[in-house]
Amino acid sequence: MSELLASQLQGFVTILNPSTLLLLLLGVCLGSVIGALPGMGPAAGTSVLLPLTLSLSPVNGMVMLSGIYYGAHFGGGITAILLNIPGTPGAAITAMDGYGMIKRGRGGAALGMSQLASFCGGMVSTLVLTFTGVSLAAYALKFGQAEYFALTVMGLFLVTSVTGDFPIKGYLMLLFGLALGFVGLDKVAGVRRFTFGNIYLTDGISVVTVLIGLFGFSEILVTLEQDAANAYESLRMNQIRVKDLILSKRDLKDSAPAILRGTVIGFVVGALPGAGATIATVMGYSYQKNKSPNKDIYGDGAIDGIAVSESSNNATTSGAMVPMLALGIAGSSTTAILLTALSMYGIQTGPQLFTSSGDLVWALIASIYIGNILVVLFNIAFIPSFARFLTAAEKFLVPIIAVVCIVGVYSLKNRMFEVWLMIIFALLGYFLRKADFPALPLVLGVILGPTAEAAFRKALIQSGGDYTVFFTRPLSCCMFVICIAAVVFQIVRTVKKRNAR
Amino acid sequence: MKKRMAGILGLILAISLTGCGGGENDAPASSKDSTSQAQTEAAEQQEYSTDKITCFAVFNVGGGVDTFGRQMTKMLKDTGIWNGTFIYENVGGASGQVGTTQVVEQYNGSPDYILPTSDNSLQVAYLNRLEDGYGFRDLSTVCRLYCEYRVYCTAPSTGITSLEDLKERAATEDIIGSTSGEGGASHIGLAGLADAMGIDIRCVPYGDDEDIVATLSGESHIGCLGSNEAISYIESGDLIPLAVAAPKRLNADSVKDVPTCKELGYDVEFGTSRGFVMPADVDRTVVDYWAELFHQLYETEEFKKYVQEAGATPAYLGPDEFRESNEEQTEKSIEILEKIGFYK
Repeated sequence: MSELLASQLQGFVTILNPSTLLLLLLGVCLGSVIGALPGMGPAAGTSVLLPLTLSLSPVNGMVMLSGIYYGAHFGGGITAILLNIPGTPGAAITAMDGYGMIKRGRGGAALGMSQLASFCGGMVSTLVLTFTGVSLAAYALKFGQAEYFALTVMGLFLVTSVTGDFPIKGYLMLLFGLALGFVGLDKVAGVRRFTFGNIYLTDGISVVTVLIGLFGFSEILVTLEQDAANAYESLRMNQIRVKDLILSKRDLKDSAPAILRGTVIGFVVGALPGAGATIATVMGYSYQKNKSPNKDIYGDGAIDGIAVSESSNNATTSGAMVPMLALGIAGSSTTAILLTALSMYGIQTGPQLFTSSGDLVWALIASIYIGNILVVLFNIAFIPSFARFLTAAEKFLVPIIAVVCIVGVYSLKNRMFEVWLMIIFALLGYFLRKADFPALPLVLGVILGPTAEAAFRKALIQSGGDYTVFFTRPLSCCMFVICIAAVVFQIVRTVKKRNAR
Repeated sequence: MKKRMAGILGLILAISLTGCGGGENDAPASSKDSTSQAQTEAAEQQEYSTDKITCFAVFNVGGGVDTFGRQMTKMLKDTGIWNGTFIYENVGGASGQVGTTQVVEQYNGSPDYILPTSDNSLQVAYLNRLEDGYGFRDLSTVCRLYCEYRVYCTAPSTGITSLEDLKERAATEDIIGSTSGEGGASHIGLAGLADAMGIDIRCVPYGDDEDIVATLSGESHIGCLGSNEAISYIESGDLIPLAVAAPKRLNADSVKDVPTCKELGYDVEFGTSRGFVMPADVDRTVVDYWAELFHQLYETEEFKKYVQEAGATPAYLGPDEFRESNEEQTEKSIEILEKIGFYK
């Protein structure tokens, strides 16, 4: 333990110099802005800046790149709350309660909570990474395909928490999302499905395109129907100064347990390669729904909803660092880029990284602590200015958002096809809103469906077609039992309620 | 007001779409047909040179091909062999087919693009019999730089320490092999080994990185990793090497004592070649220009050191030889895939 602490302290010493701190500040600020822009995301930001960082020293370069990574998760919640346009898939759930709070005139508290929860999620998960990182990698290895399938099924079951007032409509959207997930190259057999001869559809439908279309661009279409001058009246209702970001005792009391739950779930799920922030956020959000002191407004303005989604979102970034640093395995597309950066610096990644490049690893971890502080300070200054800008430019917000959405989606894969697809989803989103169908389950279906299908098929190939594999493996069995128990519990509760009436 | 807003929106949309449009990508002006034709004509008349080129990877940032491309181009500059500008572009998807289609259909004849590649991505269309797929036959091969031979590995938890152990185990239970995908290098490598050993290996297409996780966890009995990937896990003791599918033992310290498949009596030699290609119909002087630059890089100590540390084998091939090597490899891989019933 003392050796570990000494290594970590040495890491702090390594980064506590003006140039590294400046680059860290630049990284987290850029990350926050990139995360706020729909479509950009940390993967795009890090890949664009990768060539520039290669001229820096390995410590400085990695500190800056990883700053962009977790900084983006701080920024994703800002536009989700202010404009109902999630900057990242993980912020889609934040948008529900965040925008709800804006409509209730509590935008300042919503934004303050998003930063506090992100900060707590980031700091606590980094502490866990510091003390248990390498040994946790062994836990990540225990997750096989059957366990991944069980995890995604759990995530799909938990979509009930985001179906709104009409569960049937929510499930229909979920099924539609699952169907959309089939489009493209089959991950297991490599067969093209529902591509209609289009090479771009072979690549599947990007979840970010769906997200921006359904949430961002469709918002514009809805706004055009209204009086555009008052389209963002809710923004004007909210005074967002620095002091408005300070939370009340009641808000802190309501949200503290949610932050802890989100952090634990986010870190644990984030440590599983390929699991993704979305599963963690859905799980955390759904779990919190049952415990929320604001059940009546959960999903439409509950501050603990923001707390759990933002904390789990940020906790996944440190979680994803576990397989990256301990095993040299990319847990996400952004960590794949960080691994590329390490190899470009001539650093051999893999299990020996802590031994062969311990200075760099501990400096990187130390930078996450300081980076979390810097990004919160930056956002506290940035958010009021940004909110003022949005209010001042209210009349021009619609075209500004349109351009940002188009450019963001185009930048995903450098092709117009994604823009056309976004417009199609925007039209779909518009009609879904008119018919009161929730859009989030569709997005979750697109994210979770392909993972669930691939894991299911791989597990069956591995077992030689034996379906009992999902119940003979202990972890997988536990998760399925939890799912079944949750369904049975829900049915029993509903029947009891009906009988009581 | 509504009409005004709609008008403003329409104007902004039109501008954005126009700015983004004009072709699927903002290709440099010099890649337009007339200018590229002029360039190739000029190249024919005089020695070709350039100070800018786009390094176009048909995989996303962070993948093996992208990393290879960035490493080699950086080395070209660091060693002073070439002092121009590399512009990096990634168009990934569908095992490289999305980017390759773009190159074949839009950049034909353009000397402004060079593509880092692996032989698997050059052959995937033929191995998977994709009707509208593209591969090395639709591109100009420039050179191969090195070959990462495959290392067969297993986790200590499987209890397998040699290929003979594997053979014994195969007599009594199903052997699971982890691969990154159907028809991929690891799949062909494992299929070839199974055929040579006369055993069945059930290959599970776990996917990139997930195949390593499956091997490390012992969920699969055997994995077929590139030497670069395998070395770090072998050094840490997380994986036990069983054999290398190389013509001779590898140089890296951690695997220099690992026998080749041939030494163990199994005629298996398989690896992933890494090199560069360009769009088809690019003038031969342009291809030779880059082949020569990379050959100069190949001779440097920096390159040799890099390849040695990666556990790869330096194996330069020029444009024609690289094409022939791909043809041979494709035939060999198709033969193996036919034997295992991949094309049923």
